[in-house]
Amino acid sequence: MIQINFANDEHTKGFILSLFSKLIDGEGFIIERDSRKRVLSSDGDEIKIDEFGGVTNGSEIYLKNNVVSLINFYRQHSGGRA
Amino acid sequence: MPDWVGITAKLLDFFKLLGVSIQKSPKETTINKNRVTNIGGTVNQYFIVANGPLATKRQREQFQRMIQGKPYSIESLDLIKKKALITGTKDKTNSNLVDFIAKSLPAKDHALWEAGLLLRQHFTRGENELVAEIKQDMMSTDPIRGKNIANLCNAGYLEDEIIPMHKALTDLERSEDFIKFYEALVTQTPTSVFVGMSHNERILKEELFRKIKYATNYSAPYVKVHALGRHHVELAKEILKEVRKLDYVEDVFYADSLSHLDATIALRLKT
Repeated sequence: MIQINFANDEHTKGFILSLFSKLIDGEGFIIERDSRKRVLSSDGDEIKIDEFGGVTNGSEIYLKNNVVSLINFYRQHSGGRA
Repeated sequence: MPDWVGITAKLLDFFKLLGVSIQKSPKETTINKNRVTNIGGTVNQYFIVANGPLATKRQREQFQRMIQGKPYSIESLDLIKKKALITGTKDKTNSNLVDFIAKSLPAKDHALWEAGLLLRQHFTRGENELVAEIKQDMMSTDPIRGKNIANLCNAGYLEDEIIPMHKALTDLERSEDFIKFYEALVTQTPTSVFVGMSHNERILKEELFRKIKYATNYSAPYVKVHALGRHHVELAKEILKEVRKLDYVEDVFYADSLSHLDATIALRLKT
């Protein structure tokens, strides 16, 4: 497992996202560079740059920097319990 | 499960060092590699510190090669801190409550209640910054349910009201009534007032008197008031003096300290 950590400033977040061909739209949402579609978070909803906490592989799962969202993520990926 | 608390401490210490170097050369993109051992084997830790947009083409390619075809996890330092909150401070005494939440409460609220239990653990330890951070995340997830579940959980409503009500109504085969009770509780807290930043004397009095009237109309036996912090406690005590004088109030009981108040307003039942 490669663990990569980054500072929480918006420029660095933008850099990380650009490596995955993602951009930020005018409202601050993360979008696909080619299709311009908004990217969904592990919660299944659209995710803004200021909520972006990380990306884990599989199908490029985008994580929100939010305790409730992370508990949900763990519940989904560890048999129903965080 | 990795020791996230230990990992975070190490990362933050290391990051602090790197932070200094960034300030010295702000135009550089910094990609540093640091080997950390003894965390379930050897893990390669890479830190992309700041000024990402200034990365060279070579650095971008280096990064992309690094993760190509390998399992990876790319996380902000803030996210790591939050993961540590969840996995590093789990209180096993809550496992019965977590089971109840999973089996008996609506699925959309499971994570909110688990976050509420986490908030309560940190509140008990006096870690107010973490408490505020968790509550903010709960409210970002759902402004009304998140705020109410944070308050209800911290004040012990899960054990004191929700679980007993669930048992009583399930025994009577009235599960549908439990859901109605639960929904009203988490969306309106009809028999509870949590004194907060949004309250001044007038607003608190209006909310409390409205809930007392509502409770009286529906023959609810009590309304509860909860206050944390010296200012909120003093505000609540002032209003409770007036509440005592209301015709339909039987009595007011409260346990308080300088910074904490839990009051129960016992209501006269209609004859």
